[in-house]
Amino acid sequence: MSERTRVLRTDYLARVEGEGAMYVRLDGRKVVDVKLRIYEPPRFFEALLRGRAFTEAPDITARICGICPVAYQMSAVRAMEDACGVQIDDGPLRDLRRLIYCGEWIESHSLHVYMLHAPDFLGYAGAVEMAREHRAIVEEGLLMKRAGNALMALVGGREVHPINVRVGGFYRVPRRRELHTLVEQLEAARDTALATVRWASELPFPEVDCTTELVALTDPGGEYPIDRGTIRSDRGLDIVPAQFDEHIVEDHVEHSNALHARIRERGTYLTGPLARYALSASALGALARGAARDAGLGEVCTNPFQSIVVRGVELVQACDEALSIIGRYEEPDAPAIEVVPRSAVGHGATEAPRGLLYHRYELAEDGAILDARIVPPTSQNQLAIEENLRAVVEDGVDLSDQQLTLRCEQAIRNHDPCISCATHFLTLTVDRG
Amino acid sequence: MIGVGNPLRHDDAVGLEVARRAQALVEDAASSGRMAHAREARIAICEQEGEPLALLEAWEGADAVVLVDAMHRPHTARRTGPAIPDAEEATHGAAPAGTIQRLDASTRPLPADLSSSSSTHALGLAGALELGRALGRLPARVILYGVVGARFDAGVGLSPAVQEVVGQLAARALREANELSRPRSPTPPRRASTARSPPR
Repeated sequence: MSERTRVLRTDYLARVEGEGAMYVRLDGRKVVDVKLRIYEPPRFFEALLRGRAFTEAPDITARICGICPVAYQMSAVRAMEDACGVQIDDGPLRDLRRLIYCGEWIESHSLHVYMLHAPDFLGYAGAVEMAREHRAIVEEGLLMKRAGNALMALVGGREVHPINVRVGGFYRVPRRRELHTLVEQLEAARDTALATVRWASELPFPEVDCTTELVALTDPGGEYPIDRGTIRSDRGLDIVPAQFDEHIVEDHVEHSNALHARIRERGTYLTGPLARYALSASALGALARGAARDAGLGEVCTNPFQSIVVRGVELVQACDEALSIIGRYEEPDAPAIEVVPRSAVGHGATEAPRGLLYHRYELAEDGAILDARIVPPTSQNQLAIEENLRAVVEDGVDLSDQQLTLRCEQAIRNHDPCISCATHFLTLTVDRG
Repeated sequence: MIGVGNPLRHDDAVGLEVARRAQALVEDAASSGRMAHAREARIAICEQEGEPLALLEAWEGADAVVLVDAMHRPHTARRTGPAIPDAEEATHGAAPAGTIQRLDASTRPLPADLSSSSSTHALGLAGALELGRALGRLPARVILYGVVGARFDAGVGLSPAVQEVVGQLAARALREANELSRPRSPTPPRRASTARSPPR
């Protein structure tokens, strides 16, 4: 190693889901290598699904992640219903789906904002150290998460890995009066979320501009994208989920156990809160839109460090929308509609808290799964995260190794990566030389 | 009393099994009228998968908590040192599966070599304990029983050596919970030392 060569590495990234590492190499002031290395072992979920009944996919895929199981369930049921020619696009069943999804956004975003991301800005190693001096922030996080947990438990049957979602709807739908027991808690959570946006907007943010293409769903009914929509980008991508494979390719790279996704024509792209906000800020409710405006976010936010503010705005939105759904809820006649399998291919895409989650299934006539493909947000974001890392290193080349390593770790955490999700894929390459 | 574990990771489920056994012991005692001091009635027994918020809520309002969780075999011989006076060093090298270690975390963090979690969640049991401590949401007495497991891969069922200690640990943890639940006990709680599973 020459005297001018600097290597920054973190072998075990803290405050992310799952196991990953970071490696950065500089030659003088030039960044020569940047890697987000995902070494958590592959989990082969797609192979596991083959031969199983189409009705099993929501519960099996929910086990991919303890933080965003609803996202897996919702992309799975959407894909299965697409394959079987069924649409649940309005009425109380869709409302309940959005409601449980709001619960997951609240759970996941509050974990990230208060416990994982905030310590980066306030200068602590983690939530525990931060709690000693900023007890109120952590208490707010716990209050928010409790509200999300309550919503998940009531609609999904459990706080983690809910068991009540099925193809066609739910096994049991909540009674109106049951949902109303959550109102007070959600109103308090909404107030807390509003305060969080104000607090987060005043944090010190490094000046970083993410020039990556931003990709998210946009809802055909003009709602903030959660459970359906077309896949759009700020550079003209506009496709339905069935066209995903035509436009997005995934490659295996040696340093990662998660596939790297890219847009076939243009390369790197980013999904998640920044992309959703950039493409659908106008679809936010008045309260969330006002919070974003007061926080000075503008129409588009391209600084990944400020994603904490955008997550705060989405927390306001999720609490607000959950309250609206509860307010108008009428129990449906049946908890699910019948879905008859057929030989077909189905696609489903929804917005997990950390970004776009795509499922594709090929079914046999009896509903057995012949082939499954799942593209989670973190594998889509890997290249963008590495690009961000490169920009952060170039910008911070005069910092000490310790400071720059910390800045790099923050650049990764900005995207709330879920490494456990990203390593579920099955691509076994045998290289025999 | 809280049994912590993942039911689908073999020996990681030992905390859950111990909690179930303890619950059965309490129910047996109740049905046969052996709850002489009605102390068991003061003990709430639950199972948790280790999610920090759920743990904080589970022990909220309790005077004391006895936790039972699986632990990985210590990698190297080392003493836990004065930080944890209750903990006796398990072994040199590898502690055999089924070894029980008792730790008092009432006033001090768990030792660093026990703090890493096999969970992919951001905070494990040790994180939940420290978060609770920082927020003033920890019971006055916190006792942890760790059981060294042999396997933590996906699957159901405890290894024989771990299964063997479930009954004795349930009785022991319950006994300790009983002692801790005595209101304003004039004597300090008994301090047990490391116990080994009986030779097989």
